[in-house]
Amino acid sequence: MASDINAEWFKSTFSAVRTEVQRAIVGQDDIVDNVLVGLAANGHVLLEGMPGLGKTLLVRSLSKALSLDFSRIQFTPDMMPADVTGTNILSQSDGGARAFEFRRGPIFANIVLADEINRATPKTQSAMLEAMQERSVTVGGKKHELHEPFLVMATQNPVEQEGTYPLPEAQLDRFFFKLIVPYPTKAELAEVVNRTTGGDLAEPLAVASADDVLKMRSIVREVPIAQNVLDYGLSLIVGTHPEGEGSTRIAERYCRFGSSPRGAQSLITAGKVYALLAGRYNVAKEDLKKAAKPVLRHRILLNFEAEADGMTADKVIDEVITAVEAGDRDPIRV
Amino acid sequence: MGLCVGAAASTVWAVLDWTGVAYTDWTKMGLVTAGAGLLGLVLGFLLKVPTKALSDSIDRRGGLENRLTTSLEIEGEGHFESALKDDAVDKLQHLKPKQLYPFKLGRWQASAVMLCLLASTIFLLGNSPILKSPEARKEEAEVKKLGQSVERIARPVTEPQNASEMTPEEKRLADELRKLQQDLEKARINKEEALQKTNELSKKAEELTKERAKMTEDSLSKAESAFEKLQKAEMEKNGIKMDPEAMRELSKMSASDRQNMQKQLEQRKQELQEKKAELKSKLDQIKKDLKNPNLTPEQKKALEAMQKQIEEMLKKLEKELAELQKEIENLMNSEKIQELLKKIMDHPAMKEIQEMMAKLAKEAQGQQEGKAPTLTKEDIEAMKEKIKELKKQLEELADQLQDPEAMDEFMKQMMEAMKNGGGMCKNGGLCFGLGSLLGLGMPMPGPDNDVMLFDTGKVNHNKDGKAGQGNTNLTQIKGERRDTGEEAYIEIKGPTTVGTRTSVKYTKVLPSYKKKAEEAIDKKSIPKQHEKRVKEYFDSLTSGK
Repeated sequence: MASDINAEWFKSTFSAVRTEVQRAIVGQDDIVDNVLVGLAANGHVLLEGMPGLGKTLLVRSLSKALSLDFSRIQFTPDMMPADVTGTNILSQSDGGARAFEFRRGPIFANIVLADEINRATPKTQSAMLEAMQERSVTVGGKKHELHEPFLVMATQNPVEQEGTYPLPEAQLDRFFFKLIVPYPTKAELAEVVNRTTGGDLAEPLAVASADDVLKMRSIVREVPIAQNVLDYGLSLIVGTHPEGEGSTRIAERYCRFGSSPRGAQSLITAGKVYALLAGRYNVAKEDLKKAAKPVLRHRILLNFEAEADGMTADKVIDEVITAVEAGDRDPIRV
Repeated sequence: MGLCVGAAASTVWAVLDWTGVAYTDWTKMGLVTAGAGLLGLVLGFLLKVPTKALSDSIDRRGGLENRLTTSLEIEGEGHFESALKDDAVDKLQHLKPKQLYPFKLGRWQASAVMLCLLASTIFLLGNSPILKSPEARKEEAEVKKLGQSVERIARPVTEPQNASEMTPEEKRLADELRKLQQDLEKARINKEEALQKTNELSKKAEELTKERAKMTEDSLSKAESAFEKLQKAEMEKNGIKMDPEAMRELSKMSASDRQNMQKQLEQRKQELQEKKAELKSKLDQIKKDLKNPNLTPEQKKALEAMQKQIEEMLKKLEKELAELQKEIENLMNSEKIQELLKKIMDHPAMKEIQEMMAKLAKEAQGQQEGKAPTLTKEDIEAMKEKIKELKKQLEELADQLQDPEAMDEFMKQMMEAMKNGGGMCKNGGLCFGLGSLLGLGMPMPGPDNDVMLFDTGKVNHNKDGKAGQGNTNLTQIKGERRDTGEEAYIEIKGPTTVGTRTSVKYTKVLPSYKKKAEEAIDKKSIPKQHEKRVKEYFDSLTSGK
């Protein structure tokens, strides 16, 4: 069956890419998986973690495994939008004719690492995020399409907040996932040290192409979802709303704003990818539960009471899942 | 769920039983629980589980991760349809229904079991003497005994088949009696309260009986008027003139009494006529003697005085003869009327009515004695229908007698009297309706369920099959007949032996009999439980009841 082959191919390709990335990255399995999920789901990923945890290496390794263009932008407060998108410059031809020529910025790559995006001014951030959303940039009245597949992996440092411009909620919503990069365990750290301080560094091999990524995305869209599973996912979304039908007590207490409809789209899409990775042809509630935190944690805005009570977005999401599951019972009680 | 609801209902009922609000027993509680459980079972079979719910449930229980639900929903669309279906089928094949839906005591089942146990415990505690002191148990036994007595009295009233003929007050009384009976049976009220309530209800029953009796009397008096009218019409038609009072008195006499009386009157007439002839001859002789010129003035004066005296005696004698003649005529006229009425009474339709009335009376008497009813409501309805039919036949006869209106009125009132009398028998136990008809010469069973003749009011046959001659009387007695407490009932006194008519009025012998009875009571020769009864019997006779 063609669909069978597609699903199998998806899973094997995904595994192959993951294996290659993991040759360079020690540990961080969930992060690697979720970055690949974001890639397959055509969504951008926001990574939050301390410096030196291998974020740049992850992106580079990924681009190598997928044979994709890679660029890295280190955001600084003095950076201008043109530094990201590119600009028109006046050039002279061999015949002496002068004309404006568009010089592409670093955003014109398949995989873009936007390092410390919160250090850029809102103006530059806005230009970057608009390009992420539109997948095109307009310079000098001319629209320039970005290359597909296009994936932005932005990072932000949770400390050293002075002189930074935290991303506004509307901008955060454009990220498909927000992943928290944890510290490596002792064993993983030992492995990192051994790999990087002796011998040759293992380089990932190209096991997939841009077309493969596009194909993966089209396969993901075909995965069906049952009505009750969709209802479950939507219940999770409305469960984060502080008011309205379906809101939960925890959200009423700790949330200022809940997830947007884009959050629902991301949740379902992520669920579809997880389903394929689990070898299923349908989305299960477990897939949505798994996707809930990376999809929703940056889409929930907590209030002061939450801060005072030490509540985090992840804790609120856990509570929302519990509340939704309590109302989701077996229809046959025998 | 049905079982749980039924058990809950039984629990509530058991609580109500304990508190005395609504009584129940094991059978009823069991029926409610089982019925509700059965209903739940039937509904469970009839109400189909939606496919979606079933697939969702299997997904959850079988750990299919929504495979089944999704494969059923995407039928005919999507690239993964067949792959998903194969995957779902493959997973389903590894599942066993017993594992998915194992038999276990769920919330509902456990609740049902708990409620059943609770209902049983409450019912047992409420009806068991375990928690009561020996004194309380003794009193309970007494109250239960009282309950049995009330049950016997209340049974004719509380029979459901009587409900349609009851007035609202009678229905209320029946309900109260039923409640009291249950209270007593369950011993949920103390002895004092039980006696108080029993007395209250007895009073109410008595009042209702009186009311019914009044209604019956009214209808009977109408019937009597109608009967008199009928008699009068017949007399006028036959050219007979007679005082109605005298007619009524004579009609009560038996044929042989009438014959005896006529003989006596004829004899007396003859005697008077002989005396008259003698006086006349004496008067003629005096008249002849007075014509004799040789008489002295003194002799003449004496003869004239004698003549005057004889003339006065003759006048009196003639007057007496005239009265005697009138009496003889009345007697003869009454016979004629009896003959006319006999035409009616000899009619087969009337005889059939008599038999039915006798049956009804027997039924009423049986109920008085606490026997179970033998006639069903259908039987009584059939009888009423039959009486209607017979009435038509009698109307035809009335046409022949050329006075249909009088006959119709008579029959109408007779039916009304019978209806009221029937009701009395059921409620108060008093058969005035049937009994009073005897005054009109209607049939009534004697002690041997014999039937009296309509026109004589006497038992027509005794046990030996000989013709009866004694009068049958109805006496309303209020007193203790058995050990069931005070009650009002009718005693039908028929002739114990067939003999000649007594010439001594009962009022003359009553004082001596009463004295003898009082002496017997004083000497304790009458059992104590019957003393009151004897006393009341004589009191009722002396008071003219």
